[in-house]
Amino acid sequence: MSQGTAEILMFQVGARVYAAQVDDVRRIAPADWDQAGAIAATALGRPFDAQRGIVVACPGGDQILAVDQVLGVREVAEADLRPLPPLAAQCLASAAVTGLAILDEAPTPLLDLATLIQEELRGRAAATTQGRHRA
Amino acid sequence: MSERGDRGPGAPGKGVSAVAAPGGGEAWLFGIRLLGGRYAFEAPLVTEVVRLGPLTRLPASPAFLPGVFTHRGEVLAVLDPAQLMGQSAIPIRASTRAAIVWCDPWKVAVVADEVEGLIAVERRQLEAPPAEGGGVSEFVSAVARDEKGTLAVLDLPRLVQAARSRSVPA
Repeated sequence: MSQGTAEILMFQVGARVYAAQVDDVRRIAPADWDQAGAIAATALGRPFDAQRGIVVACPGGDQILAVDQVLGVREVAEADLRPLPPLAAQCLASAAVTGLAILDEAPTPLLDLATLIQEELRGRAAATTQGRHRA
Repeated sequence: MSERGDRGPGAPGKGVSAVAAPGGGEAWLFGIRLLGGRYAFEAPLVTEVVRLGPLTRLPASPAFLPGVFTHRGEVLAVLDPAQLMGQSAIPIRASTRAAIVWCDPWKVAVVADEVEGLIAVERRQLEAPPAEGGGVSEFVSAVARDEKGTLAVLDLPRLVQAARSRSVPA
């Protein structure tokens, strides 16, 4: 019986490590990247130092997610990509957490980066609209 | 790491209401301590007690869901009932224990300050919960007394339902 594998990109925001499907990532911004216009604060929090950027294809064009470090790509067995426990799936305020990658027996949140960025952009747009209404 | 046992006698842990069952005899409860208070679940709902390993915090999770962890190859959500009941968080340390409970159809790890284990209480000693609404009493299905004092029996399905309804949908 053959066991399928998947490639995931590991990255760090703040003190925490996250994973994303490699296919969701267009490229990693170079070390001297321009942070202007990058998405820094998301449901993951804000990076300490925003040393790297992950370029993600989003509806409306590419967006750059600022992260502290890109840790590399890991190949994991598909069996180690798990859905969220049902209670967690129902309680999270973000749809960007699609599951968990089990790495060295520890669950690592697996993210849909496009959804993460879209949620942040929607939140900003809503905040701007509310601000206009208050003004 | 894990500690098997502390399991209620008899029935598998799904859909059994030892507390609500009419008549005499004993109700089997599973006692825990939360922030100094004594609480219990219906024992058949509890499958085992584990020491919590390192938790993975999930982004955008409510405070009452401090994280997830793997146990016997399964990923379980950890529920902090104290925060759900409007109290402060239960500190999670290497020695912190959780009761793994079945709450149809889910398995959830309920974190506790301390685990008392099985407690047998005469059914006739179970009293109705206080009528006051909100806070802890919202989740108490009965009050029991034993030689150690008063024990609030938590309605676990109601706790889980509250967790779902209080969360902001994605």
